[in-house]
Amino acid sequence: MISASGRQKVLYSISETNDESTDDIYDYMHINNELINTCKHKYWPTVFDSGLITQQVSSVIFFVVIFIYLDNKTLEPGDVLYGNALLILLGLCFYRWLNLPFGVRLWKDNLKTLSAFILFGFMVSPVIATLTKTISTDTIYAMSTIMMLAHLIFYDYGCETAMVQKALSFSAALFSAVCLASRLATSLHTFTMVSCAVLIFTVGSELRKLVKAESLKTFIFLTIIHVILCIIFLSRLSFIHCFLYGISVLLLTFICPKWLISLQKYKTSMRGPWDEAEISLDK
Amino acid sequence: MTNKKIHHICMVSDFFYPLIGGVENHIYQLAQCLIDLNHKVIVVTHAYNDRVGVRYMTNGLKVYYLPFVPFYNNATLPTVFSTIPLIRCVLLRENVTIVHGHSSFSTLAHETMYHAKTLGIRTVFTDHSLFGFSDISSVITNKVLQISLVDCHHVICVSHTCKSNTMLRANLSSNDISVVPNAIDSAVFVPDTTKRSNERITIIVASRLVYRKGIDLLIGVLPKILKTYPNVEFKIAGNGPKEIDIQEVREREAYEERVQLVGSVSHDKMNEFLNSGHIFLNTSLTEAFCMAILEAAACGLLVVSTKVGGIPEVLPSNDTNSDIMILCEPDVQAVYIGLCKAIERISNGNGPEVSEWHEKIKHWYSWKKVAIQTQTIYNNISEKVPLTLNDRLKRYKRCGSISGIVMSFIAIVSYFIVIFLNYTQPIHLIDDASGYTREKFELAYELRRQNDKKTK
Repeated sequence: MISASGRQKVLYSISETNDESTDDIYDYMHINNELINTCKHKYWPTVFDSGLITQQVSSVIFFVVIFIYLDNKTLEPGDVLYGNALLILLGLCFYRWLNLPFGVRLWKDNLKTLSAFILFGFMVSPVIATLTKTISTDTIYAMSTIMMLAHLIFYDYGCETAMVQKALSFSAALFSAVCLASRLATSLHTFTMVSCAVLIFTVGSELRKLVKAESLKTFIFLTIIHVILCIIFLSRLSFIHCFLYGISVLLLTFICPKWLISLQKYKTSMRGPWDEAEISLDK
Repeated sequence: MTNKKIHHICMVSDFFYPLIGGVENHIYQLAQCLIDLNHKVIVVTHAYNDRVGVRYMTNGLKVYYLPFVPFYNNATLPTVFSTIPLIRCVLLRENVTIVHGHSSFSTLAHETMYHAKTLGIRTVFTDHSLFGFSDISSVITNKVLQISLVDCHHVICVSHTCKSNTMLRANLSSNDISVVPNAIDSAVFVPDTTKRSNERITIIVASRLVYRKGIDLLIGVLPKILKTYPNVEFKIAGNGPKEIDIQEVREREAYEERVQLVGSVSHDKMNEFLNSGHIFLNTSLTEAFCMAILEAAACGLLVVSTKVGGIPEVLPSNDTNSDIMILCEPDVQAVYIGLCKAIERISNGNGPEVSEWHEKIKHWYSWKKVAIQTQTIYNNISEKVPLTLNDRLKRYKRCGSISGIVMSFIAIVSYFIVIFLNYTQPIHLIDDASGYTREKFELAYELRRQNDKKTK
């Protein structure tokens, strides 16, 4: 350690008696000043980035709304499946429009995956439909709520922390979907529900990430569409939920970034000789 | 010493023999030297597998292996209240006047110190490690340390870097902390240049082979040095997860013959192992004190070390041509240059004066000196008034609002538990442990030897 006077403090010259007076208090205090502000956020980019969270929350709401409509027979499973197919085609066009690579091979691969999914989906739907017959509906609802929350918490919003668990997040969403699907009347309903889940939580979320990387304007536009659709759907179900959703979107998009930025000044760290050295291994 | 006050000291840490390491060695050597100064010392640690109960070591050092189960990194589960009855019993039975905890990772040390404070016994704490401030685990550990040290009578750190680190971590003032360095048993580490190879220059590495010890640096520098100097060989002692990486480099570059991996070397063989080399390489990324370089230097090896933590304080390194240590920044290129300098010095016959450095280190770092300094601290604090519950509550308020309230609550509950225990297990019914003095130990040892002879 270098003392305030610039002299290296050493252990080997300590005299026989424990001489405390040689310890200069200021030697130890000057390190206190080495506070470093570690990172800076700007307001508007943070607001735009928060769109990813808004979109993900909205997707979960879409999914639940579809479940409710299917459950109270407002929607027929066939219609939803047509809608899904339409959405896939729309997404495909969107993908092309973003000028992302798309060759014959990818086309073939995708068709293969799609046919495998439809085949297996139809095969296991009757099993899923009766999977939770013995479990009470309340339990299932509670379970799927928790799983959806887990999905939202561990979802990869683009920052690299220990919180991000892509596999866990996706499994939680699918688990929740299967739970909800097993409450529905027929196996076609179940299949519809599972296909919606796959569409929303895998294909949809991947596409959103691509959009975010490619064009910010489209991404913001997409966020707005999500919010508007969500409000329309929710307002038909219940006013109070719609209101809550609106409030939370405002909070998430405008107030939380402000809060995050105002908290940045507390994010300091002290550096000193005690820190573990970092080695660069490129040599 | 003019002050002949006899202290009953209880050294407590989760880390003690049969584990091997700096803290374990420190506790044992310090305890032995304090026994030599006529103090009564016991060691309290947790059980290791079937090693439970009381054991006696050399000179009647009594070791309590308490039946608590370690759960992570050999530290016990922090339960706070469940340890009170047993620890109270030990402390009262042994008439302990000072509890001396070691290592901030040790839960048992913190808990025992906490109960000692409840019982009105003075406490000292020795910090052996450095800690950053940047991640969540260090935030939590630092809070625990702050809470534990706020009502501790005195803190000892092993180096000035460690002191400034502990001051910042635990928010203590400079007066509460003393620096007492580690030491080595210089009778064990004696230089012997005849064991060195004459044709080759041997570089010794002795550490656990883990990331924190900078084994990645070693792996980076190994092929470079071997390529530049055909007369250099490496001897690497120790084991750990990075061993496989070293083996891989060794095989890839076809240096099997010039890089020896000898596995772990027991402490009594260490002297011999160190004496077989010319240069000692330490690549640690963080180190509060580093005993390994001291041991190597006592054997007269030229030390090349990374400039991290408290290492620059340990040995002089100002003059690269005569001093015993060459410091380098912790990156591959700098370590390479440092090693090159060292090899040049050795091959020019310009190595450190072996016996002279041995004498110097013997003078600078002896356990006896450490024990005398520690004794001074014990004498100082035994004159201070012990803290009452009220004082402690006032001090906890300094630790922040939430932890202050939590700790005050725990302190009050422990206080009630002790009152309850005083009722169910009255102090006058707890027998004093008979003092097992050094003389008695020697007598018993002699008797046993005679018995052994008779049976033969």
